[in-house]
Amino acid sequence: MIQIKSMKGAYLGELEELILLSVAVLYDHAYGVTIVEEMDQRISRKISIGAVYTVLMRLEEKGYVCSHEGAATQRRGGRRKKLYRLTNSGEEALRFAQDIRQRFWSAIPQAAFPSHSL
Amino acid sequence: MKPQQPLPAPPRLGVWLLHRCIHPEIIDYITGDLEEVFYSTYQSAGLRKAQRLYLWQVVLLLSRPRLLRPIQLKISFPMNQIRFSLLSAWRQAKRQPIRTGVQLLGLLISFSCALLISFHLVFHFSFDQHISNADRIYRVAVDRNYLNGEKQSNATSSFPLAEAVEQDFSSVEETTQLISSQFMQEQAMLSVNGTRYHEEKILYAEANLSVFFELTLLQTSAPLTGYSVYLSESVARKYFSDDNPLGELVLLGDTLAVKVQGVFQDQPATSHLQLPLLLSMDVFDAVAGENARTIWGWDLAYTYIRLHPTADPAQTASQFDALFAKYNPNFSERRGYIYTAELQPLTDIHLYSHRIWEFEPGENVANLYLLAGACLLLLIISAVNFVNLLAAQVYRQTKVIGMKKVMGATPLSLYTHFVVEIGIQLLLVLMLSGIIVNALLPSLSSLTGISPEAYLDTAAVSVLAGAVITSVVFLLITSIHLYLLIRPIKPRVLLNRNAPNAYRLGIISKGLLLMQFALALLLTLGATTLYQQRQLLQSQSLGFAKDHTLIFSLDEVEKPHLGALKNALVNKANVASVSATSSYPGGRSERMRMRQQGQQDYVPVNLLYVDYDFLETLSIPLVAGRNFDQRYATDSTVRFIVNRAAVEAFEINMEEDAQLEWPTIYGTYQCDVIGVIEDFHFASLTQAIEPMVLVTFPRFNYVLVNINPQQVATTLTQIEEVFQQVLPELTFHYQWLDQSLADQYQKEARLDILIRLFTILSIFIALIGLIALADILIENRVKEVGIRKVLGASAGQIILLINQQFIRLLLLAIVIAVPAALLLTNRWLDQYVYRVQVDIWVIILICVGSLLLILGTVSIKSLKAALANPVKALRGE
Repeated sequence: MIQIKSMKGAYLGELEELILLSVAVLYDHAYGVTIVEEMDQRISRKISIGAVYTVLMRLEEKGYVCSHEGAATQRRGGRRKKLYRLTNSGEEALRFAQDIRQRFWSAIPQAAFPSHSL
Repeated sequence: MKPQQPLPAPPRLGVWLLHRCIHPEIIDYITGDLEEVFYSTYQSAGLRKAQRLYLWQVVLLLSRPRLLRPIQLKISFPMNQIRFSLLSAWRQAKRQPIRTGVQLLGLLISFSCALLISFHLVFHFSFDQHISNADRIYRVAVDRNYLNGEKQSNATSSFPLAEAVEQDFSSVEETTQLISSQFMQEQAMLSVNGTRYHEEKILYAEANLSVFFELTLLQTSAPLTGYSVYLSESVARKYFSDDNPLGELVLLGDTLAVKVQGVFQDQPATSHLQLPLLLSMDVFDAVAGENARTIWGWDLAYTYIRLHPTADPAQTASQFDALFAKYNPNFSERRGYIYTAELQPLTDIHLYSHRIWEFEPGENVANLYLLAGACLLLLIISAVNFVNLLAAQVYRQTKVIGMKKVMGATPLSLYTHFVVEIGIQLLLVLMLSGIIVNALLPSLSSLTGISPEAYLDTAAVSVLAGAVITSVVFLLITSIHLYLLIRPIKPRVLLNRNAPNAYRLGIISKGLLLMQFALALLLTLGATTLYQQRQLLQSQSLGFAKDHTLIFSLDEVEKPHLGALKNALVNKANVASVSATSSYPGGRSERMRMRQQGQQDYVPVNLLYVDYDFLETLSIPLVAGRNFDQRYATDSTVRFIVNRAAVEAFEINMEEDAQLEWPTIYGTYQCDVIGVIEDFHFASLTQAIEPMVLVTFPRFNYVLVNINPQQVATTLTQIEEVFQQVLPELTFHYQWLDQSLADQYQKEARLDILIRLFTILSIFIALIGLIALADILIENRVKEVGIRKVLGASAGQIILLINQQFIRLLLLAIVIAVPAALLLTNRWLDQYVYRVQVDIWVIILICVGSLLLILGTVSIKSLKAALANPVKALRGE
């Protein structure tokens, strides 16, 4: 069971959540460019590399992701990548976020949805 | 293997910006990511698109403060660098004493002069600024516009004007008025406890004047009404020493008792209103008659108005014509003129107002500009020296700088090293010139007649600020020049054996040298013209004998005794002649209007009341007709003697009898002209001689006594005895006519001294600069000169070789400076009626002289090189 009380105040922002999800999806290949591409492909959302790094740095400070240096490639002008990976607390935060939604979803009466009445 | 086609690089600007601004910890990842995106876009969408996207990403990155490099302010005081700069400056100075000495001496001289002159300038430009509402206070000065087009500009106006202005103009907040005793052509005499005091002028003021002009009343004072007087602090001390003057009585002219109602602090030196004492307007009424203050057309009052803060002065000024039309109907028929008024801003009066009846003679702003200009030229000339010698120094150190660059010195560190060195020199110069100014300020004040305290009080802060700002600007300009000099020096100069040290005059140095020569020439030519003009004025005959003539002023009290006094004086053996007169040359004369009988137009003339012996006392020659004579009874009232200028103005035919019509308030007199005298300079030599009419009407203010040049001292004691016999209660007080005339020209004479001084100094600075430059040039060409000598060049040829570039510059400078000087001096001379013609020979003389001076100066140095043994020059170390 997830300790809800302990997660109090650790809500993820929307962009934070999306990027954290991308990091999780990309698993071993999560770095600036791939995250941007992932966002673009999956939800057609264009964000800049600057925004990605800003969010990643924030997430790293919160301890939801950890980073390590990846290999350098020719296409990067010989520069290294900074690869990100989900941490335990990052996983917790994601699950918590989903759980909260789930609770809300399950609490919605069917009649509340306008599409239901059709 | 086929050479791979190089991939295009991301835009350099973007990369540069990233490296400048992004946090160093993540810069690698970010640039890497961006590059990856760049290449994939390049392959999919082309170069243009890729570049655009890259730059756009950079812009977005820069708007993320989290990713940016933290701004680091490195403030570490470069103590080591300064110590090193000091040391190297000291070593440089020791190694090149001439260059350093010249550089600093020139600056020191010109800085000191500039500081001194700034004191003078700031003093004169800060007149009347101490009054808090100065920008809203104006003096109403009127012009009398005569029907024939003549115009008389008075500093004063009629007394009723103030009341009219207050009633009719809503824009005027308050007015105040001041009447000077000088309009009544009387000396003011006061007696306190039986002691008599002559005051140059006494003033009658309205009660609100002390508030209007923010006088600081020292003790609780009663209002200035009734028969009362306010004393200035210094006058109070003179009259009552340390006693409390309040409530004491002062006798005006031995008869009218007025009570001291207040004491005010002396006006600051920068006030155009220097007030010894203020009498109430009630006293004025008692002296001048009840009606004096109601007459339009007697311009006796200085009228000051303060406008409302929102009022427009131009609009107020435009309302005066209507006001005069309302209060002075038919004025043009009755008086022959109409009034117009000018609103003079309070702070402009001292410098810009030169009307008749000024309260105090102001300063001519043109003279101040002349001084400032000369001073500026001096500054520029010394600055040129500094900059040129600095350039020489940098050239000299080319190899040192190259070496330092090899060792890893950044251009910035090299540059700051030099700038710090200049800064130290400037600081030194500033401090030394401060000491010099401190020592010379008393000399300046003895020259200008303004006390050192007055200078310091008014100008110290501004001058200090100005000096600092000037130094900083100077430092900036030299720094820029320095930067241009240092930047192109490449480390490869070390490998270049082709005379990397040889210093040639660069284009900037040449330009500056040219400017220096031209300015020095300009100053010399200008000063010469100035000197010639002054000589002309001084050598010009005044038209009367000014030597050995004493002036005594008469008071109302003494006038009845005039006859007895004259008789007693004439009987003394060494007294040549005695005459009573209303005024003396250099003093003020009355302006009247007369016309020849049968003529249409009136002519303004100066009227002088004299007695029968006036012409004899001043040795003014008669041209036609006769002198006044006691045997003709009518001579005593209605006979005129006129000068030549009047003959021309009235168009009198000298062969025939002539009569002049003289309209007065008592009616029009018809007066015979009985004689014509030669023109003489009654007013200043700078003014044209105006028509003058002499009449023997007993309105005398002065006695002139001409004595024999022998035994002056005994004669003076004899005269004093006579005075004590006839007028025992009077303090014996006289002045010499020639001295009082000389005082008139003193102001201009002191200007001359300063200009001459600046000229000499500027030539001196330019020449020592030249010596230093020549020194450096020759030092660099020692080997060249040696080789030339070995190959057979004569000493003369070598001197010519070194001189020729300076000569060329001087010739060019002459071409520039001479026309400029002619233009400027001609404009300056335009203010004089009697002016010198600029002599072409003088110009040639100055040009040739400057040529010789430069040849001589450079040759001091070049001769040594030319005569030296070439073996010594060519021998290797």
